[in-house]
Amino acid sequence: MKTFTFKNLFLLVCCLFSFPVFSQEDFSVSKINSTLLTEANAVIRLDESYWEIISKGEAKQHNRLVVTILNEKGEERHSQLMVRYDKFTKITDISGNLYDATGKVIKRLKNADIEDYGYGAGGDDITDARVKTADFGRKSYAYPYTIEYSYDIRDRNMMFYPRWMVAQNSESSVEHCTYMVKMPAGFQFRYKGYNEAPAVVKSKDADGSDLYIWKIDNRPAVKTTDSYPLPLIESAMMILTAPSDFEIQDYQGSFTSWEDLSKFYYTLNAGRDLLPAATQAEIQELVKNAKSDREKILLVYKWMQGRSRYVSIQLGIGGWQTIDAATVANKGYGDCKALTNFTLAALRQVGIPCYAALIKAGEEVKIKPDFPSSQFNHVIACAIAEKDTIWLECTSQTTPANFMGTFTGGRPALLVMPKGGKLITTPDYRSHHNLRKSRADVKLEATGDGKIQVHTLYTGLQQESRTSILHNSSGEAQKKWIISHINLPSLDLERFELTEGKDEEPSVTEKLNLNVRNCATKTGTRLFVKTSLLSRPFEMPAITERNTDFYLPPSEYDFTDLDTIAYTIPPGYKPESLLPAVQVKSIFGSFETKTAFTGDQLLCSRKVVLNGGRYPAKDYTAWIEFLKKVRKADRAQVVFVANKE
Amino acid sequence: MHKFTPSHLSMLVITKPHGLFRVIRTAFVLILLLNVSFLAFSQEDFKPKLGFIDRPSLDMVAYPGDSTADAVYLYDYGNVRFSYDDHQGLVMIMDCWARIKILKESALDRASVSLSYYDGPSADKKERIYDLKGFTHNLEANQIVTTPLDKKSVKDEKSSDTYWTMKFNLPNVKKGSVIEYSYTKKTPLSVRDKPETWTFQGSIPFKWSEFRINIPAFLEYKMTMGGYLPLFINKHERVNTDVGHSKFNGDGMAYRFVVKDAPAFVNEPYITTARDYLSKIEFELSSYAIPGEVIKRYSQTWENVDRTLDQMPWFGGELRKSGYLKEIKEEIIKKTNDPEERLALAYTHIQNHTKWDGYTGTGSKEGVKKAYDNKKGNASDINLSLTTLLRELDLDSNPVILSTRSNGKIHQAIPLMESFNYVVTHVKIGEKEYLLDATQPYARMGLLPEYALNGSGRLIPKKGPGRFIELLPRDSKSKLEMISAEINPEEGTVKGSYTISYGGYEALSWREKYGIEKESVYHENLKKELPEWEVKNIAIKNKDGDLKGTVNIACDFSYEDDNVSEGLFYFNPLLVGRWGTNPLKSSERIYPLDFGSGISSSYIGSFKLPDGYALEEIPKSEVIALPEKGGRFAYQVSQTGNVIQVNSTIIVNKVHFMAEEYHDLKEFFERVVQKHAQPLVIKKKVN
Repeated sequence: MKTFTFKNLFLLVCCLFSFPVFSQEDFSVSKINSTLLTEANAVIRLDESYWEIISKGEAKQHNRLVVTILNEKGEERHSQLMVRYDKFTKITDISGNLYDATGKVIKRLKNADIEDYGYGAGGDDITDARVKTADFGRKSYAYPYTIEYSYDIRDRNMMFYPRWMVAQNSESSVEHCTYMVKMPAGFQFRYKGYNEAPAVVKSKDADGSDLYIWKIDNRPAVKTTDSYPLPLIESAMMILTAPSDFEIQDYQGSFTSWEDLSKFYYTLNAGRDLLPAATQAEIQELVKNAKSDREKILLVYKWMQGRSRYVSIQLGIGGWQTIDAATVANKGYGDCKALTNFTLAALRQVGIPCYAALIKAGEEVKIKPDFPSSQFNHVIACAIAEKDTIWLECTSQTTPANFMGTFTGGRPALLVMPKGGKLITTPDYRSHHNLRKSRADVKLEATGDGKIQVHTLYTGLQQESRTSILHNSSGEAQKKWIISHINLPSLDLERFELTEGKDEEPSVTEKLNLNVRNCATKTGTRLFVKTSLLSRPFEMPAITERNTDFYLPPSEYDFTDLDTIAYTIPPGYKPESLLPAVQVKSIFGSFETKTAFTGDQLLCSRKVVLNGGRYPAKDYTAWIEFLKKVRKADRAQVVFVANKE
Repeated sequence: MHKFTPSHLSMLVITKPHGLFRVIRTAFVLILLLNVSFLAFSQEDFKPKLGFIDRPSLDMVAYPGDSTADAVYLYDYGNVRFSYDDHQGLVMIMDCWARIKILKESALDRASVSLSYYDGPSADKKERIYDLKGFTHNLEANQIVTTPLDKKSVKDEKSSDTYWTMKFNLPNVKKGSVIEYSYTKKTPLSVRDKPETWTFQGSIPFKWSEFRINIPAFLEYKMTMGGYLPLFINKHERVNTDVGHSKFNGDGMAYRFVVKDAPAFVNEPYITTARDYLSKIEFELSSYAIPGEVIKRYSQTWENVDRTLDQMPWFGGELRKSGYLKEIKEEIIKKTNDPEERLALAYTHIQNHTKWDGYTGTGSKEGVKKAYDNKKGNASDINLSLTTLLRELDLDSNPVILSTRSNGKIHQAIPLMESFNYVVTHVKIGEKEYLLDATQPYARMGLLPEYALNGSGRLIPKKGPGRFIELLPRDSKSKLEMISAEINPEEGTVKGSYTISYGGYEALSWREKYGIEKESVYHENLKKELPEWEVKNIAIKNKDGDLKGTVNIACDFSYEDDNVSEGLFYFNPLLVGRWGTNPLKSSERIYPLDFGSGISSSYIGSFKLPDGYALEEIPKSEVIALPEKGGRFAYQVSQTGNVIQVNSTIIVNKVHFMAEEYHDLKEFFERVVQKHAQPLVIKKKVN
């Protein structure tokens, strides 16, 4: 799937704006507080963002960024300025200076240092977004030195106000960082702070306008080697802002609640769902034998998937306004809005109640549901069958109906309704949904070589990657992918087969035949046999202590693995030692292994159930303990020794 | 009027990226073949009609040649001719036509097409794309339905100051569709003087790939054929060429090349670059002879290449400037008379003074002096100034041009200046020769970065003809790890010290990774690599002080072994440096292997047992060797008193292996993995 549609309209994601009000004009390096220099590759001396709302239809941005570069890594990160713009936003000025360590200007940014590119350059996206880049790159400067960039933007897309975010896990310290919003006196403006963001200071400007100011000073850099970082939206200081009333092109809108947003999107796209007569007839014909609404929905969805494809088209207000359904019917392509709109039009043809739903798509991506504003980047369809909702991802030709997966599952979506809809949560995928169930039969030779047959069933999020390669890769690439995902020293993949399940809930069965050299390790008279030969390994982090909350992304950590291996031991060997059963239980989940030897069969079973999510810092030691025990059990080997005559 | 005989018109050289020897031999054989004559041995030909599709193409559900392909080029066609344009002068006109069958959903993106074209500063420097036509063919209700591309949905986007991109989406494309589009691209010779490289192969199979070119006699191109696929049609015939201007009309040669049933190109590890292995045809302009005017010759022979470079202001011209180096020259002269010492000082000076901007290139961009003043420049800036400085110091130094691995191989049979993209410095003192690259802040003098180790380079002397020199690795990826530890089987603990020394390319890559980092970054990574260990007292010696010396790391460690049971202790003595997996995974190999540099990886473990324990089982010692001293693996376990010593040495001397040697090499690594997995068994002595 490939659908980041609205993102083009987020003016500056993660933007760090600036303005000259608080400028300290001495940028000599000696002025930097020494606490900001440890761990840092660069010091952000000044980061000013100034958002001046002129009216509900227009604003100006002024940004100023001054960074002292301490070394090559800091240079890599900060030397280039990149500013996006499009039909609604215009860059009115870019300027810059370069200072030596004493704070003396040694170079000014020239027009020749600024380049301009199409945002879709290199890709197939059709977009009117563009980007300007600037840098002082030609020359090498002795560290430390300081660069300064300022730029101004005139903005006529007032659906989106900039958000201010100061990320923690960077190797840059922050000396002064400010966000200022100016607006006509009495102008309705909404904002909310998150993650210990500073409090606002309100005041009046000389001309009587309202001023809102947020400030952060002297934040030292932190090291970035966190193995389990919290999602940015839960960790970075952030101020979300949004308009109450706004204008874009000829449309008037108001965003004080999710209902407002829903209604606005509805209005923007109303009346674009007329289908050509031939298409209407085709749909009627399609569902004529359907016995239930559910069946109709599935039929229409499959039909839509078979006759359309996703293309990215971001032109003008098209970032939010769909191409009409008739065009999609004729051309067979569209972006997420257009394909959703087309699917909804088709469903309405056969009397199915259905709605578009705005969502923020992507793995581990979230919105703040308590702050109604344009936080979405994708549109999907939601159809109602009797009492059930069926979610439809319209940009994929292969996803089964109602399967949201890591892309859109388990998060709020805003239903688009004429009178305003609300946020509802899409289906979530927890440990018991995300199953891997495997059975391996290994015939061991006395040399240690083995012939292995494995059958594995994958469901829920665990089937996603395999379904994806099944649909998207050639046989050779599938083979390479499978080999790279088997954790064995060397192997010959004799045969493989991936089969999609027939049920409504997606699943994949993988069958492998492997010839493995040194499947068991032979030393003299002994054979060392691994009990968890093909299981998912657990990685140990480098840091075993921490004092902040940690995050095990559910998309990766919510799973159930059930692995069984049956070894046929070559004749003449008897176990020298057997292994005790291991059981580990913790708040993170459970782990069990068992081995049993009967006849010539060694049976090893392993069960892991894990629960991802955010955990408090105090549980970290327990997590490390859990990992240690699991890793130890996974390393265990059963030793066989040849019978001595 | 000068007249070319057809055999002189344009030369076709066919090379295969095998070893050096093979290239030359194959090349000459094929040139010969070509000159003898090309009998048309093709019975079947394929000439489809634009906008019309055959039924079997639509019925196809899987490509017979590769049942898992997600799409296949049924037809890929390019036809180049030359023409005279009143405003732009001589132009190349290329007709392109692609027809693709969509077999899986993942290939639907192929119906979104981007074509870029150059937009120069003046009217005579602009490319143009016109006559775009597109069609989608579907089978609907058992009928062929063809939908043309709607002109209105074609968008032109300004991508940068000098490039535009034409973008369009073909309509009604679904699994099973056949899409096709054709267009004509006009390129003034003042923008590009040769046709773009035509590739007969891609990431999906090509059923029919055809390239045609009609070259008028006044233009001479060198054509180079590369790759592993045979030509199905290879024809040329003498024709009358109408360029549209009486001055240029006349004799010409029309070529037609077809590769049929090209499989999808699969990337393999240990290759230089995919382009070296793809089937393709490349062009280089070698002369331009307008009737009545003086013939303009471009690099035709290696001697031409040498002289052309020498005359270019951005190469030879830059080597004749030396004023900017006066200060440092005098400083070095004052310091020493010894040529070796002067060399070392000059190398270190340029290495530290001018920072590499990451760009390759045979020529200086804005002048070597400017780069020197800016303390930043491309590879040519840096190594030309090094050459100049060495010459100023009265050393016998010359630049060497080469092609980096990612830029593809150089074929000595084909003199092409544009195949090169990098410059290094050669210096000879007495009988000693060095190749230097001052772009690498962590490379010791004489060690070329691995990306520059690609066949041979051409030395360009001040006067007279140049010569080829082989770019051989002066060092290997060398690593020595040592463990000295005490085992306590009762507790199942192992405690001791661990040292690593990195030499050659291992040292270079270690320094490139950690040289600019704080030591703590390495400490953390080391701990991460040894998750079960308790690691203490990490010490790094010679991080980057003496680049000739190894990087030395030492630490103390302890860990608990799991495999402990009553009276028995199983234990893999390769605590570190273990080859856990075979780097060669594919069961077969079509292309030769190129490792860049050799491998030397050694491990010495020494373990002390407490009294009352003995080795129950000792893994067999093993020595295996690759043919022709290509490599050697030795593994040995011995016991002296209560000390067990384990040695493992892996040496691979050879850098290039033929596809036929793949199985030997894979088996060699397999044996290493096997030995490295073997545990020792330690048993309590029974009283």
